[in-house]
Amino acid sequence: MILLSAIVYRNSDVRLPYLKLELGGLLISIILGISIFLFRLEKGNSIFNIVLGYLSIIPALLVLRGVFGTHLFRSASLLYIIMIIIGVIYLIVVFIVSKRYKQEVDHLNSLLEEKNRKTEEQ
Amino acid sequence: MKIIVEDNKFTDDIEVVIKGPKSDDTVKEIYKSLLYFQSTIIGKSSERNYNLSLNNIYYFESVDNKTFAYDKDKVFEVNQRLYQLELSLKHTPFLRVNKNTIINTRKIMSFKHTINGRMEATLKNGEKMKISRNYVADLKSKLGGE
Repeated sequence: MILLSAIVYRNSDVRLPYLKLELGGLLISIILGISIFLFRLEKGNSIFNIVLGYLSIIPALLVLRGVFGTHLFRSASLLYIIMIIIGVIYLIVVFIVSKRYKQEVDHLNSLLEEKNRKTEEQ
Repeated sequence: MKIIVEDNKFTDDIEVVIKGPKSDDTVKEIYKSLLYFQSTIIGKSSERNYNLSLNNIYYFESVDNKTFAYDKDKVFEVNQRLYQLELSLKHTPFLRVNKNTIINTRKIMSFKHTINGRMEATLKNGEKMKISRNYVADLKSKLGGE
C-alpha cells in the first residue's frame, strides 16, 4: 500500500490519507486470508474451492480501487485487466501446488508399492 | 541380519525367536514392532466389550471427545484418548494423519491428491482418509522413506 501510494504521489502529486491506506491494507489482508482459507479448505469439491478462492480475491481489487480511486485506476478496463492478471497468477499457483503434491503422492505410492512387494517376497 | 522362516504346516501358533544382544537398538525395535501382532485393545460395541487385535484395526478416529476404532466393517468405542493411543502405538504401523485420525499404514491401498493440494489415502476397505500436510513427513518415514 505504501509503495502504491508512493507511485500515486510521484505521478499525481496527491497525498492519500494514512488512515484510509491502513484500513484498505487491513481489509485486503483479510480478503486474501479468506481466499487462502477457501483455497485450502479440506471440505467440499476441490475445483469449487479453487474457483471460490479466486472469486473471493476480487473484492480486494474493489477495495484497492476505493482507496486509490482514479489516481491508480484511470480507466475502468484496467480493473478487468488486473482481474485477468490475478487469474493467470492464481492458475500458476494452482498448477505449482498441484504438481508439488502430485510428486509427493507419487513418492508415497512408490514407497507403499515397495513395502507391499517386500512383504510379498517374505 | 539373517531372517529365517521355517515352514511348519502342523502348527497354527507362530513362534518368533530373536537372537541377539537384548540391549541392542535393532533388537528392541524388532521386538516392539512384533508386539503389533500380539497387542490387543478393548473396544465396546452394543454394550459388549471385545478384545480387538491391532492387526485388524484400520483406523482410530476421535469424534465429539470419543474415540472409535474401525475394523473392516465394524465400529468400536475405545476407552482411550487419541493422544494416548498415538503414544502407545508409536512403534507400530499406526500413525496420526490428521487432527482426528490415526490410521494403520498397513491397511493403506493407495494415495491420491486433489488439485488444491489435499492428500487422501484410500484404505483396503475402500474408506478415504484425509492426510494433513503436517504429517506427510512422518508418513514417509513410516513407509520406509527418508
